[in-house]
Amino acid sequence: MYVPGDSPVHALDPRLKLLGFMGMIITIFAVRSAHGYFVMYAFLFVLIILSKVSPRFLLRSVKSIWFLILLAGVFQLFSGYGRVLFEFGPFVVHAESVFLAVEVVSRLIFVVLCASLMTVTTSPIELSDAVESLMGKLPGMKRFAHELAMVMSISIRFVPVMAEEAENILKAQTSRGAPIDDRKFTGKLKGILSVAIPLIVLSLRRAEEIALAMEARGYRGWEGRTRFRELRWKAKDTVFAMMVSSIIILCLFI
Amino acid sequence: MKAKEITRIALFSAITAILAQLRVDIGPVPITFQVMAVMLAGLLLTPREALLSQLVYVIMGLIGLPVYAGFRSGASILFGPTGGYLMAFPVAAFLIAILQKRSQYSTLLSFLSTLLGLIPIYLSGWLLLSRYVGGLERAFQLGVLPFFWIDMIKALLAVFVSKAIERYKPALLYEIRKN
Repeated sequence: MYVPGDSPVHALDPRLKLLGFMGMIITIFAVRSAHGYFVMYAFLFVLIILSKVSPRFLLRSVKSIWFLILLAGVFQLFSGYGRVLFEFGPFVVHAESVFLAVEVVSRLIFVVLCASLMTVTTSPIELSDAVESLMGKLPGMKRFAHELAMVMSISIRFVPVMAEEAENILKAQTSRGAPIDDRKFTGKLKGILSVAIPLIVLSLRRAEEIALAMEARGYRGWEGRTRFRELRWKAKDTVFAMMVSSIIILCLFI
Repeated sequence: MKAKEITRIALFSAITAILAQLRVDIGPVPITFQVMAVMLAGLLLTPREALLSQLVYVIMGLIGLPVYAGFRSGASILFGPTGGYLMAFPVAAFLIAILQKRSQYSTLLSFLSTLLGLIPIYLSGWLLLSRYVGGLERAFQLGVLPFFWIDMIKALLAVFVSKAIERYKPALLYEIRKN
């Protein structure tokens, strides 16, 4: 969920944010020492403070996958490496496992915080522009990148539309007596089919209609299109890029 | 790409986002229809369209649109314990589409190719999960075994849907399958 704002983090080039945060996320999986974790977390906290986003808001994203985090932590705890720390009935906790559990949980929390800081400070449009621009940098991919961005913006636009259609179909089929809430297993399957088939038919049909509308308005593909928003690389982006890469290198070697 | 291809890809990634939110409780496990959308993309679109529709779906979630199951999004899901399944969606859809095409759209072979398409999903889901729960064996018990039967039913449903469309609305598929 994007929160508009005018912080230094918001103002960074979206391409840089995409690469930088991805780099940080990959790095946290390669970090081997406690110092490394400390430096990565410290850097992330500095970014959070700079972004002026309330930490509580970011923590909500951690809350949304707390169960996964807990699960991963608990499984590591009983993974049984190293010497026995204590036993409690059938549960045996080993010393090494405690360390592994802490590691996994702190990795996961870091990944969640990093990812949500990126999405909170960058709008979906900026991000899809960034994806297009980065992909277009690869040799021979410019056209493909443009088409992918086109697909993405149509898809973003039509998710709510199709969701509404799905709901209409569900209601229509229920009123015709489709066994949507059937207790029996086969009834449920029939209910699913009675929604799935019309939904797919509808979306295939919609796709043709949208394509016709695009062509009627003169869409002739990639050639000759100009951009409304253009991404510009600024001096502060260079500074930030150097900061991130030096932190990543530092963490990999300590 | 032609405009029609672009819109078909776009709508199938939108459909994946919607089916991922649709939940039905069969037995104790709540199931979503995310995987069914992957299968349907494979069964109905051309290999390239199938691949791209799922790629766009994964990218949309990655850049923060709440399209993953449970309205979640972001790299934390994609690289989290259960993200491995998502990562393989494009490959799976592509594989299903190609096998389907090779099999001349026969019903039994379509079903088999849908099941084969599950393999990359399970494989990458399993491997990534094992990084988090400690050990391949445990990840297999948690992340592969319990879902196999349900996914088989989803494959059946997906094949049923695609055959129904083939039979009753052949005009919609004409352009996709003419070559």
